[in-house]
Amino acid sequence: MSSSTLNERSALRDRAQKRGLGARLTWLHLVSRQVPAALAIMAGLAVVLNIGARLNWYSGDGALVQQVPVLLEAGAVVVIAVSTRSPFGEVELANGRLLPGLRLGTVLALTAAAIGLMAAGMIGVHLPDGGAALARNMAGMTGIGLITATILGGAMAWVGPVAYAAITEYALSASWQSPLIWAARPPHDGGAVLCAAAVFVVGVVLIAVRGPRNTVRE
Amino acid sequence: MTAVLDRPLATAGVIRLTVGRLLRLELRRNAMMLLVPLVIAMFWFDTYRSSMELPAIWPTRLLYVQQGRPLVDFAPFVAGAAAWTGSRDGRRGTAEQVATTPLPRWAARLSSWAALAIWALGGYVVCMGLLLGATAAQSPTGPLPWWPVLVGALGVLAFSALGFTAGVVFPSRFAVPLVAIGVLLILVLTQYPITHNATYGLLAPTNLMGSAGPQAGVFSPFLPDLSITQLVFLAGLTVFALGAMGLRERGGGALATGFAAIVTVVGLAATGYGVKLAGTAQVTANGVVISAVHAASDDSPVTTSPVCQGSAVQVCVSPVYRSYLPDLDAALQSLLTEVAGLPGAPTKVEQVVFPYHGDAVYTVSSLQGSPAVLDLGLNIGADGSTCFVTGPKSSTCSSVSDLWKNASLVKTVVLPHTAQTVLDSLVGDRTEAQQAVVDGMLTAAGVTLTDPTAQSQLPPGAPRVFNPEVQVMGPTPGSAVAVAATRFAALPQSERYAWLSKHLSALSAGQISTADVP
Amino acid sequence: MNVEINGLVRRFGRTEAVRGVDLTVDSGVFGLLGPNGAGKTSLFRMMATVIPPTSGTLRLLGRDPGNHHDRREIRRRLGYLPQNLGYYPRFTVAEFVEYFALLKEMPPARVPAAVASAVEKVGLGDKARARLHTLSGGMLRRVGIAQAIVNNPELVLLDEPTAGLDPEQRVDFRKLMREIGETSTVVLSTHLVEDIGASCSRVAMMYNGTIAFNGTPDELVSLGEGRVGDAPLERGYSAVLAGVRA
Repeated sequence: MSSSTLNERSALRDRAQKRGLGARLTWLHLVSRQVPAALAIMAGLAVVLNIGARLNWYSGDGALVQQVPVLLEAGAVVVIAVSTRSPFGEVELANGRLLPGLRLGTVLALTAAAIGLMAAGMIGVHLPDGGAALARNMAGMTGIGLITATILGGAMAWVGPVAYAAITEYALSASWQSPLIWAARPPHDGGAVLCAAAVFVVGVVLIAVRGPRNTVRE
Repeated sequence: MTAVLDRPLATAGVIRLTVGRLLRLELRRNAMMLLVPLVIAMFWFDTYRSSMELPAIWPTRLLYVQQGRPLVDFAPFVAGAAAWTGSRDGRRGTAEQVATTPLPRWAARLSSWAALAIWALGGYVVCMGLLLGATAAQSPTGPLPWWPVLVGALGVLAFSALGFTAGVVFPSRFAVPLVAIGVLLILVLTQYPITHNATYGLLAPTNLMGSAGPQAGVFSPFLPDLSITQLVFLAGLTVFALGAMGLRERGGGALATGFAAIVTVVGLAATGYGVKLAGTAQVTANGVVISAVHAASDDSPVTTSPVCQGSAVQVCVSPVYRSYLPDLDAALQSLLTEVAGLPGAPTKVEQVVFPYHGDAVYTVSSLQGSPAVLDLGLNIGADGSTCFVTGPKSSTCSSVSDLWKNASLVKTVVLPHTAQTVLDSLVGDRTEAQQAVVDGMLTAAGVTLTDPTAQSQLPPGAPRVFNPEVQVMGPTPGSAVAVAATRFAALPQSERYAWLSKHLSALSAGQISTADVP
Repeated sequence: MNVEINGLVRRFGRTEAVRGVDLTVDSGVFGLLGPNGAGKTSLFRMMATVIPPTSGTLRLLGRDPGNHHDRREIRRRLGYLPQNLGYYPRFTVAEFVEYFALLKEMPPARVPAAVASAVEKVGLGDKARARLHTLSGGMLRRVGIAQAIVNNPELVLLDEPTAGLDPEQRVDFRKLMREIGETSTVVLSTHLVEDIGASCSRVAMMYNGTIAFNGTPDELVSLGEGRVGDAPLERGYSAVLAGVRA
């Protein structure tokens, strides 16, 4: 066997090993953030969303039609927000060359999973604003949660989305038109989509680069 | 070196003093302390701003408090902070250390909860103080409904206890935020869906059907029945949650466990009693009546001397609404001038309570008694905004508060429906002549009749809603009724009045035809 | 005897962490040695009344910790420092020690003086108002010792008390333990044999859930004669381990 063939095989083995290690590292990172439990909770919220539709919680023409789905979406979002908390503290920061990538991947995957699960919760039922609005609302609120995590730490990251959800409830009752309260805007509203997307991007970048604030509460 | 406790001290005394000292320590370090500014900000943003837009009449200004809005501002964060505090030992790994101490774990936890509850209640008191103080500075009229304020306070306590116990039982990172969102969800859900079953659902302080409305206590006493029931229910929930937490502690001894069991059962019993009371609730025009706690004296109307204005026919309102009298009198003058002195016409206009949970939007009116009195209910003090069609292609929107301060809008919302009530009662609406006379008098009084055929000719996008409270459907153009109505309206007022004086009874009896209408 | 243990067993599932331990401890400083997984912490947790034994008898300060009333009396006279100290980061040193003083049902009037005394004894008098999250690991350990001794306990259980302490602080700590041991029973679980040598009048070694040695430090040293090791006690320690593994 020629040396070039041996070298090729060795390189292939190295790449396969790295991929395996990468997958293993990703899995351990996800477990450390209790992502499996987070997914289970989001699945539960999706079930509640579906049951709520069957119980006519969102029927009629009042503000409640949108208020309740927004709250269930916020429930999934706060789960994403607090999952940013690291149980390792400074040890991880000191060793975390790969950390920004792991954080970025985790947040994007969780957000996608949350939107997917909640969208699955709409199967067989009708939600007034549909899947596009759901994705917009959740992305935007996730951004708020991630920004809150960089300020208050992962454990308290829920405060931002809960406050925003409460303000949104008020805005829906008062028929506010501001795109900053994107959940109160129609699904096709470009300004609202832009605002939600911008907040999401800012939150994702902050959490990837800086991570959640390492506070005494962690 | 000997142990400090060489001889056994009175256990109860030591616990009392110890828990007192623990409470002082916890007050300095409680998580709720950090969230108080946030909940005050939420209260200002939501309840305070919205309330201050309403007129300076106590029950009106506290309409949102009646609807449990402060609880929506407070409870999610209080419950979240409570769950955070309750889960402290689990999160901080101090469970074993505290397990080796003799003070019953329940007593120590209660001091943590008490510190949180004090901060939360303190924030609530500050917020209510701000709202009440700002209102008092505006010299408000009307009676101050205290009961909903108390219900809100106990609601804060109840959610703090429930959140705290949830944190003790589930010291997970996800428990705290899910408790917060869960509480917000419950409060929002209980606003509406249970209105079809207006009994057990009324236990929720946020249930809109439970709100007595912006005129509570003005015309009849504020009914505290529902508030009392809610207080019993919320107190029961609080006690049950704290007792259940004590039952959960192992190794507390028979005495502590027994006491916790008693507390849990008492809480459960109170909660159950509240549910049972709510099951007998009846929503009436004056509020919710629950017979077991109802005082007969609350059935008597509030006696006050009305404030009146007007020459031919007096328009009288409750002294609470005296500032609205001039515009109301002006709005009704054209109608009253047309009918004053006619048989069956109102000799007086009297303000009555507006049914808050009814279907009417602006006014309700009825002609009662002999001599006839026009009872007029006005939806002064309602929240929200309203839009109504003002022309073929136009509509007007206004907040309900601003509407009642605008003389022109007052006339727009009061005159049409009231005039139709009076004239239909006076003249009748069965025959074409009656319809023609009524339409003619409405036009003469300043009511614009809506062309029934014009609705289908509206351009796309034009408002199509026909609001019977502010619009009166007129006759088909060119019809005999329309022609007679136009003719009658064109007469000088004195001639119309003279003709009616002579022919009203015949007209009411259906003995006049459209051709006979001058 | 302040600690009387007969045939004590503790199982966790199918694992027997403590297998029939017999031990008696009187006043003074008693050391507990052993490799990782020997069962020291499980024994400690039973003595601290955190977990009950699976079988066997345990009497602490002449009382039965299985009885609720007795257990409460024991806990009033107990000081416990676990291996992993939990704390509330926003509490100050004084507040943390005060918190545990109150949990131990000390008469509230005596708490301030007791807290001040305990904090001084561990050399943190000038840090009494510092928040715990600002302290180093060694200082936190000293805070843990302070909360363990604040109620002048008759029985003090310290699991790895000198972890993170610098040499000078360890010397001070040993002196403190000797002082406390004059009137109370101090049980020290440690990997540092010099702590044993400097403070303890008696020492036991645990291995695989049982007591492999129970005697004085000098007796342990004598077992190590002829063996290789940095210090006499280490040699004795190795000798005992070699014996039980053989």
